Amino acid sequence: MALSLQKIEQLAPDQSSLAAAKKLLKPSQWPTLQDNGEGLIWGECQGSGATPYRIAVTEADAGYKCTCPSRKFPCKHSLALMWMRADKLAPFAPGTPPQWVDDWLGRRRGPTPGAAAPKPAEPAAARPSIAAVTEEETPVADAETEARAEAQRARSRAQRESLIAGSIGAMEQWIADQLERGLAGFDQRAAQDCATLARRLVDGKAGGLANRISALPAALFRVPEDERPQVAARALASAYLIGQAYTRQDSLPDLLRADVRQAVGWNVTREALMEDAGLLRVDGRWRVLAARDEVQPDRLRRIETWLHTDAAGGHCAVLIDYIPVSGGATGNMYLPGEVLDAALVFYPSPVPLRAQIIAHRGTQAAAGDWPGSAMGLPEAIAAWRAALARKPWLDAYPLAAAGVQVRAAGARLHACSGEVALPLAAASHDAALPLASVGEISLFGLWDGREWTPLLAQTAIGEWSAP
Amino acid sequence: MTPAAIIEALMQGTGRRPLQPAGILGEGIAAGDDAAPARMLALAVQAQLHDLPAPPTVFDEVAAAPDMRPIVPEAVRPMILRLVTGKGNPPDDAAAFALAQGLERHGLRLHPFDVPRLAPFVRKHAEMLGIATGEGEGEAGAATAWALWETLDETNWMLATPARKAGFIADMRLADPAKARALVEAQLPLEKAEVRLRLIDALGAGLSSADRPFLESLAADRAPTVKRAVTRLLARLPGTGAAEAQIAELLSRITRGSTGLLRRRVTFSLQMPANVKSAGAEIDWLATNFGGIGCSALAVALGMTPTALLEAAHDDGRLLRGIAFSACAERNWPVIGAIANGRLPDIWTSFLQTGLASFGLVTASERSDWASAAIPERLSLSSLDRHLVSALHAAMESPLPLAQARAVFRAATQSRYLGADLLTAAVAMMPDGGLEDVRQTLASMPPDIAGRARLLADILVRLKEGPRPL
Repeated sequence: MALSLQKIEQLAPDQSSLAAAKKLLKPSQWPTLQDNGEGLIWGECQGSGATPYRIAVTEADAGYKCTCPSRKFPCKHSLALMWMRADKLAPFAPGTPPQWVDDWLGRRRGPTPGAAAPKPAEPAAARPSIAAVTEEETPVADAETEARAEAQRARSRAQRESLIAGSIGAMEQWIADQLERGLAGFDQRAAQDCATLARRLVDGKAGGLANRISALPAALFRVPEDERPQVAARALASAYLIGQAYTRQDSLPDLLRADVRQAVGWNVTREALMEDAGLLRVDGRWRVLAARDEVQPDRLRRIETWLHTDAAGGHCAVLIDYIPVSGGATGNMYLPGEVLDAALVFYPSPVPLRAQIIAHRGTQAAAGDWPGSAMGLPEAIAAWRAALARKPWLDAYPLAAAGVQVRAAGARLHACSGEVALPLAAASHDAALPLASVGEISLFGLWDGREWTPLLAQTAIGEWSAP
Repeated sequence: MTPAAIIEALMQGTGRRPLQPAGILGEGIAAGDDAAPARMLALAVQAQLHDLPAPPTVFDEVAAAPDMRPIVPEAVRPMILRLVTGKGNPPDDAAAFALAQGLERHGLRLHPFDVPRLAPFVRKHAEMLGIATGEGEGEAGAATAWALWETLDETNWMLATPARKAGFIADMRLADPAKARALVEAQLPLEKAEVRLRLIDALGAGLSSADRPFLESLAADRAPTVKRAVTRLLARLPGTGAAEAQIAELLSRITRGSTGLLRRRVTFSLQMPANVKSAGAEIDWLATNFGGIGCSALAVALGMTPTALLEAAHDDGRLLRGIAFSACAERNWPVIGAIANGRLPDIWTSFLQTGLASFGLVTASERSDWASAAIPERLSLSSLDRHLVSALHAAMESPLPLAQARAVFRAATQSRYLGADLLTAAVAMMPDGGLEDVRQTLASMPPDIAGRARLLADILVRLKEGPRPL
């Protein structure tokens, strides 16, 4: 049965969902719109997240799936896709369902035979209506109101700067106290002490620093006991560097200044990125090398999608999305082996890695396996050292090298090339163990100066990707 | 001061050991500055970061015994991951069992990169997959284990797993029964009861009167299960006291009668012991008492041919079941076929209750012969459920003969318990020749019922098509 506007009205959870869906009806916002000719449609829509949301709808029973973190069901993206289909607002290219659609179909229950159609329980007046959305008028901007708002924003910024300066002072005092007591026993008191400082930093509007500090106890307990003091030293040194750099930001180069402000907690909005013509933009076909997620102490799920393109001399980029954990296990995960045809703008940084999509022309499966890196391990390390010199608080750096052999030494795996042997992350040991028996490989992973977390490898027996 | 010296000093704490800025890293830092320790920490960490971690002095040696079996086709890898990992895809159900069997049957191995993700599945079916799962064995251990199983001979068979040992002996019994018996005789005292039982059952293949002295020497085994198995085998040998005593006991419980007005015909009925009341206990009693004697010997004792015996027992379901068990003991497949296609089309379910091994069906070819006889090709069983089909699968340890697999699949699609688990279990027993038809049938069924079964069928078809080129 085909979708109709009446059915979409019945499905919409509220009037505002329909209004939001209406704003997504421009075909330019949908780089991918496809159907399989049997009542299954799917598409990709660039939303407020770093990666496009993926939506699939079955016309027969109006089943839907969207990767956005909205808690409204169906979300505006699903409603918009149905609406475009029902009103024939855009052409749907014929195609075979990609893996993510197949996965969803495999998990979902089909239409229940004989099930009653959804009945509108609300009175007619309160029911969401497409007609009401169409009649909405665009509010006229009031210049005076806008000026007042801008003045208010300036006052808020100044107030926040003052609060951040205070919280950085408190953090430096805290670090000095920790060093006076000694790093050897820091892991024993980290949970309580870090939580106290993190609260102070949150109150002081330094959310980025707060996240770093509150993540430290968990990071300590992930590593063997004898390595904890070194990890603590590294984390405290980074926090101190960021605090010092922020305090002296006026004397820093523009990119480093912008980076340290983000590290402290200032957000760069998508609109600001779009408007800043001076930022690095790279247009090309971006191969997904890895996608990983972790839950932060602030109960947000952080999803990283690592990309690489050969365009413009070759670039790595990471798209980062944050989703509330309470929203469930939904995610916007792209899989290694997919290729995004897109233009990206990078956040300002002397080591530009984090990016946002500014134009997305679609996603396809890659024609073949990851070809591997053209760089040897020594050259890759030299590139990382140069990046570290430009940004001293550099955390995870995308390191890719060819001619690497994974070898075991006791309970630890190492990526070896010539005289160099980088330890692989202990957490990846089991998954990476098969790499130790396949000879030389090309390896991509995240290097933090202490251990290399393997994410993707090209080997003699095919491609390996981290689970 | 070196970076290491600075960090070492900060480990103990500046309260205990004040840090004196010195050297390149201490330049421009005043000794009394409150921020001096933090500044020196930042500099020392940066310096250490630029120096890579020291490499280990010694690396572990990798055993050079590669697993030469071909790897599964590339396209099958994600399908296997979908089949036996994630929510609702147990690593130990009929589909997982069929996958492990399919890999073993086609001589394929899992892709090494998938093994960690498939850990629960690998642990459950390590033997069939040829992967050692012990601590620290890793890839090298897997290769060694596979090589051992692949080249099992009379010098190393005793090192294999219990099922492999029994399979090796059963196969050898068909070629050289005396040698196989000698191997078992030497090994039996060293084995636990569970393994002894498997080895005794394996002697059921190629059983002859030459085995009698050895079996009689085992009649006093300390494990009751082994003792029963020995008694069962002895009863199958003509001329032993055990068989004659068993037949005499049964004759005392069989009552002769007659029926018919114009043409009188003989009837038999079986009187069960008074203490055997439940249906399950009945089957156990029948299997124990009839499963150890041949139906020809029973028929002779009753003064008729096996065919006439069937006719006379036609009205007594219990006696017919007993005759089916005794027919199995002497591999008289036509008699079982006559019972299954006549009065008791569900006779195969009775065999499953006690297990095929208890009738000495230990080789794949014997189990296949039994299935061809016991499962009617026109199976009509609306109460077929997944437990029954899974039990049949577990008992067979291999796909069913094509006609029987089709019959079970057809019955599954018509069962009142039709569901994803039942369909998957039915597909799990389908031999390669029936998979294409099954896929077509499943394609027209709702995905929530047929999805997993279809995925399994797709995988089995791909495995049949051939390995991934090395």
